[in-house]
Amino acid sequence: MRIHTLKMFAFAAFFSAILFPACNPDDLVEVLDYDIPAIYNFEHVSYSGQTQRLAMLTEMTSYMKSGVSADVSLDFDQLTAMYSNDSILAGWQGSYESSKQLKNKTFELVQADFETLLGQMVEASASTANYAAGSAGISISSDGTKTYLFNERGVEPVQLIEKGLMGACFYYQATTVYLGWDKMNVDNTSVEPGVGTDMEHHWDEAFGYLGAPIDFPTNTDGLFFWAKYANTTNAITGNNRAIMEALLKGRAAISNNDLQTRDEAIVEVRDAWEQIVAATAIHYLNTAVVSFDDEAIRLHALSEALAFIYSLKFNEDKAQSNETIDAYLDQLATTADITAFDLTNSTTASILAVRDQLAANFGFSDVKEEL
Amino acid sequence: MRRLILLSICFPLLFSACASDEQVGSLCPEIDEATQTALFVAYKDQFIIPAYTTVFDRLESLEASLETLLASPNLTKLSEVQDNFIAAYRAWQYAEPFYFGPAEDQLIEDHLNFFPIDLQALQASIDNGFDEEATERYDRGFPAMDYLFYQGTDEAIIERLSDATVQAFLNANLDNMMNRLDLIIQDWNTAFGAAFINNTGKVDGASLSQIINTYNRHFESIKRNRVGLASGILTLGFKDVEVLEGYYSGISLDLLSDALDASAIYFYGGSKNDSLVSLYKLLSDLNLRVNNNLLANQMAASIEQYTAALEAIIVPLDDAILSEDEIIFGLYQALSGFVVLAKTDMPTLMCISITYVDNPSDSD
Repeated sequence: MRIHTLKMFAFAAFFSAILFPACNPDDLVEVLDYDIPAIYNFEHVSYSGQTQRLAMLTEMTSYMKSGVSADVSLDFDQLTAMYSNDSILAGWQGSYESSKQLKNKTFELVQADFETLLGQMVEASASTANYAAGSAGISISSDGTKTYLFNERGVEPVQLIEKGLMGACFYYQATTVYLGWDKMNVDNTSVEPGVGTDMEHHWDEAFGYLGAPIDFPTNTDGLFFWAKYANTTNAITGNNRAIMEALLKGRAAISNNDLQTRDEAIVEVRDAWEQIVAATAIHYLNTAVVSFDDEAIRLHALSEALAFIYSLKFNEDKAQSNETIDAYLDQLATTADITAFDLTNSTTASILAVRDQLAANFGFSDVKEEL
Repeated sequence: MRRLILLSICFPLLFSACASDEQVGSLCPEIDEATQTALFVAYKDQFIIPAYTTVFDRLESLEASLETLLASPNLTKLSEVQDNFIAAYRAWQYAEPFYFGPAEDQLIEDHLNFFPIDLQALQASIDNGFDEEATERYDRGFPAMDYLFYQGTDEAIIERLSDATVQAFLNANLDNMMNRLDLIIQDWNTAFGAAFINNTGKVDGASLSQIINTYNRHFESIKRNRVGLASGILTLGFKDVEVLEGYYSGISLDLLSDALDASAIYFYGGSKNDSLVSLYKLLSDLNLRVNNNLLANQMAASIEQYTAALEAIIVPLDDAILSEDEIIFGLYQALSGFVVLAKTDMPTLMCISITYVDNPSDSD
């Protein structure tokens, strides 16, 4: 996108409007005298810490999913070590700096909940039975292609942990911490080679948590976590472009010390990211309804939906209060406590009711059945 | 850069019609040395030394009653200890604002009132012995006593206080608090106090800078630590009343009220009175204005606002946080309004830098 082109319009408008006598603020058109690049290829960019955390959660998820095999019981110490990056116990395949971890970047008040969920994950993995309400175990989809591990309440712990951490860690860090007041009101003059100014670096770290390549969304290969889910519903929402343009706009504004435009971009990033979360939740609620009679698919999709709805809490400018989000969770899982969700008595009516409320509150009513 | 392109005829002569009416700025005011010294003497002799001395005296009373209690725990003695604890904790609210010089040397906040208590750290200190040099443990001071004297049933508390390791911890904790306060009082009565009243000027480290900085630092800690965090206002709506100061004793609202009262007293030099030597009088005499209104009057009005917002809370603070969102948010907003005046306008107009770091951040 080239904002430069707007200059010509403004120039023409200046002369065409010369006969108007008032000095009305409505007559002011704002243009930027710098380019916003089409890809995230700014000078002095670094977000290696974020890349490492995305890789850690990838490994952690892979390990958790291995628990679906009857002959695999997950090790709690290893799993918690992965969460806190205790490299000796974690058994990483990749190489991560000791200062980088998922736990200490998770919203502090829910860290203990995730440790509880890790324990539930390990307990479920010890089961060698088939899932039944009240008894943890595996369940296979009707077509035989999908196998999931559920706890005794019909919840798939790996989904709550993986998607929950996408919310309580990645989404929280990006939208609330790095685009928050403390990280945005810092030095923007001293450039550290390869890293940028403090303000630029913080913005880049927020970008890093999206899990997108620098030429997203033209390039949709190699998407991780949030970028992957943005792309899932993009055909309907157009969220790929919305979030990437906001991130590019903010970074360009910072590099040109245009803090007013940066502040606009902060709002746009938070809004676009929240739309991705809400659209993804609706997407999984629809899957649960369409496949309601396929227990494995229904419980898997509902677990995903619960985690995405829960994630809505972690945006500083969230559109819905925690009380409203808790009400969604309670309708779907009898409680808002992520460690105690119960999906054994779900109904299509309750799922559709939440789907419709979400769609109405996030502007998806017209496309709610397509998501 | 972001630029505005004017689409209308706005000749320079007409620009005044579009200009902001905000005050552009002012020259730094001169504050003569005698005025500064009078302010410093008032602070030292009327507020700082008496505040520390009161806390020390009340801790002595607590120490005496605790000794009696620990020798033979019973509910009557526990009640006396609890009364003395509350008296000392409330007195501390009037000493906490002066976190510079001797207080900083003694890391007095760390040792007396880092809250909320970390229960694991507290148990570790009970089990392993009290480390008086440890810092940032959240295992000591008033918050530790708040838990040990109040958490659980009366019987459970008596049983807890009958444990030799708990008794040793309580004695060591109290000794540590009193020793550090004693050193602070000594320092204020000797070298530091003497230097303080003569340390005129506005540079970092000058007494006026220390007063302005510590005043703001304290007020921000009230806003953040005593209201913002527990109420969820600063934590994405996640409420957590257990992080309140004085949560176990149930005196959170009293402590908050005392802290705000202390802040106002130190602004007015006592009660609001134009003749008292104070920051309020200094700002008035210097005729410092924001948008043509006296800053001193604006700050006084803001104090009235947050005091009224506080008085709207008529139930325990934890209950109010859980059920009175509007009232708590109103208080937080009122406190935030005062911060703008005290932390932005006052230092700017006085040409004094805010030097404390209130938002430590990590790098990645």
